[in-house]
Amino acid sequence: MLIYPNFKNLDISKNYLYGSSKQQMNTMNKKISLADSTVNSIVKVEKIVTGEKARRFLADLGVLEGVKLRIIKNDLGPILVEIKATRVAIGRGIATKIEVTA
Amino acid sequence: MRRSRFNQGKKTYKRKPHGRRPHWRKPHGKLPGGKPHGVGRPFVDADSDHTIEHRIAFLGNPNVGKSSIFNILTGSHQHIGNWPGKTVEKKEGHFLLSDEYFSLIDLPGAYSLSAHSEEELITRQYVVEERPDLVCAIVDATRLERTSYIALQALELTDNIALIVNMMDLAEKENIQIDRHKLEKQLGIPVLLVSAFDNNCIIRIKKFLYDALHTEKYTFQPAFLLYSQKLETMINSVSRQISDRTVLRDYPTRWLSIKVLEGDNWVISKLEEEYVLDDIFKKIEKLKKSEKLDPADEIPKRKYKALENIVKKSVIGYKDFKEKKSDKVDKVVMHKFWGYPILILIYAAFFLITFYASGPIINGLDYLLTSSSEIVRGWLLAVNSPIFLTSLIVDGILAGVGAVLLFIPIIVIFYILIAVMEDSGYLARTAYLMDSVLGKFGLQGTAFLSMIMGLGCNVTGIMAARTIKSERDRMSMILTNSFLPCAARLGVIAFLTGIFFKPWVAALLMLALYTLSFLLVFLSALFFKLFLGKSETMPLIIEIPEYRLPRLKNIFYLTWERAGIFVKKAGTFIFIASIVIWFMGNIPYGVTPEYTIAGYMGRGLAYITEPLFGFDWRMVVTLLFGIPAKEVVISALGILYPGVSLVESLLAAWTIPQAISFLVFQLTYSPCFATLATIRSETKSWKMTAVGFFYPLIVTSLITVAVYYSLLPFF
Repeated sequence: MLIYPNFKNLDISKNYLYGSSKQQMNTMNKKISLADSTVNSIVKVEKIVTGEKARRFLADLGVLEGVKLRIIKNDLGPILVEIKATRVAIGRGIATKIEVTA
Repeated sequence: MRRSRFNQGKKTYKRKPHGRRPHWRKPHGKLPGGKPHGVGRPFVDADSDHTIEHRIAFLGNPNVGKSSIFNILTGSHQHIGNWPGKTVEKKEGHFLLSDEYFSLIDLPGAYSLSAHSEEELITRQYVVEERPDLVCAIVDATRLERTSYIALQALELTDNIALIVNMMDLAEKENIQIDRHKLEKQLGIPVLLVSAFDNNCIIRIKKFLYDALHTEKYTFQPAFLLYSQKLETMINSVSRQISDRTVLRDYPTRWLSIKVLEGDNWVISKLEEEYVLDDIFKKIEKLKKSEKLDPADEIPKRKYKALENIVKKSVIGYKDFKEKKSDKVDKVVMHKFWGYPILILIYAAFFLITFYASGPIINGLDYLLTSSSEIVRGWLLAVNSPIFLTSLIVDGILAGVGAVLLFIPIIVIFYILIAVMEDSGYLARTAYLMDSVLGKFGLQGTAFLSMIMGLGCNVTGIMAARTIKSERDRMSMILTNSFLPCAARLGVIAFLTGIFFKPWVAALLMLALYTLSFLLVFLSALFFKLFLGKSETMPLIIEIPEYRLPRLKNIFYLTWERAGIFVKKAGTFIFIASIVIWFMGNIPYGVTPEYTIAGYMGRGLAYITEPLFGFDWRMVVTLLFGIPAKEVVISALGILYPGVSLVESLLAAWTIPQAISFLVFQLTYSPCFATLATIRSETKSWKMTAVGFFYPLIVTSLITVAVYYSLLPFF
């Protein structure tokens, strides 16, 4: 007889082994800031927590939550990313406020 | 048109596919002949030779070749000015086709039609309030999705819109194929695929514009972008509230509602004159909290989603994240270490070419000018004109014209090279590389462009500060730009160091002077940061364009524009200043320079300057003459130190500390009048202009005192 877990009583702090719950997915793909991402990786923007003005400007350039970016250069100075075939340099200060997952 | 039994015989109007209320759209005009005119309002201008004038506006992102298309279409028929009351450039031009007058306007390059920057505000105001007959959105074929965003925004704003997909040659190289018909069908607007550098592109674009305005070949039924259900409900509720407004009647109601939801400050403040929008903001807040849905994010997201779908359906061969040739070059050119030596090399070559190439031209021009002024003098003497008048014409006016003419070659070559760097895409990379250096002084990388331009002429340097996003940085760059020795001051430095020092010492000294002026700019930036306060800091976000082979036409127009600014602004000032200086140096006429107006002023001021900087009255007069225009410093020296040769008399008159202190002072003291006028027009504030005049003067005085007294014991 199959025993189904009682989803109502699930304790989200525990690590269950049933498939991939939302909780687990998040622990698997750790959120990092854009400034910490590795070169040549393709990352997905999760959250943008900058000021209103910068946020709008990023949105105009297509940097929105859920969009994929390729990191071209990330060593000194601004971070160079590719978004929809356009290269955009994003200042390091603002890049730390953009959360991405690999 | 479907006619049912019930309305037979009645006139029925086909409903617009998207149900937009047409109240804001004025009826189309008709041609004088009474023929319907297709799209747009024909515009009959009684003064013009051509009865029909079409106004076409070009719209698009930066780096999509918008200006290239504008340049090839209009050729020399263009006019560059400013938007009234704004510091944004306005480019207008026209061409004629089958005796009709097509006037084009190149709207400033912008990434969107929100109200973040003046450029964007101007663009959308023009599109709506001036109602051009056709708005042409120009996009890049290799980056269709990214660059069409602004076109999609414009679709919500106007019906008379067409799309020009540029750079098809590059797209072909990347094996990207674009299906024009599918694109046309999805967007509901005419689409043209071109490459601005094809031979037949001019006629193709002209024909496209002509057909779009005249024939029924193209349909103008812009696609109607639907957002998510929740957003649509919100949009509708806002629309209902504002549909009977008296302000902003020209703007479509739906577009206004969308902008209110997006939090567009300009639209909201205009609407709040009439409505209380608090309800709407409460609703938005509620939506944000309960649904985790921020309209300001959701709307652009939906637009990009729509674009993604459009591109998916109509473009074959586009691949995301493909490494391009530019990336390979950038691995070296923008390397964290190698990038900087390359940058220094490129700029060193840039300055060497400027001075070596302009040297012979300047010498030739100088020879021509002196010989021609001698001819004029001889001719004037022959017709027995009074000596006073002869001197005014030859030494005042002709010398003034000469001073302007002598600087044109150096300025033109300087801006040709800048244009080459700009068109090839290196200038944006310079801003990128310099960002980490300038960041230490609280400046953005884009400030470097203004500084480089300032080395040619401060006027253009200050105008280049427009590209700086942060208002505080911009102000600080405007005020400190005159610290950078422009080509005119470089001439003085090169001349004087060449006289007093051995070549290698002279070179070192010049380097030291340049370092000093850059240091002053950086330190002043830190200093101004304290005063101008914490205005909103706009972080660096710039697009890095792909490398391209610079095109002759673009370079020509870019140079023409900037050198034109110099000739117009600086030219008039130098000319007037030379005449004023002649009067000051020659009245009362016939006395030695000591007893002229300038002489008295100089001798008065020398009581202060002699102990402080070691300047005698003649040096003071020279510097006084240099305030309106730095170009006249050397010629003033020539007048004030009469002798067999200027070199000998200067060597005899000045000590080494005096010479160095003179060099330092003239390097950074008050900006010339043309620069001051530019500061005024760019800041729109007399207070800032006064700061721009006195701040360099005070700083320079302090530095010169320090330099003079530290040098005195050694000589």
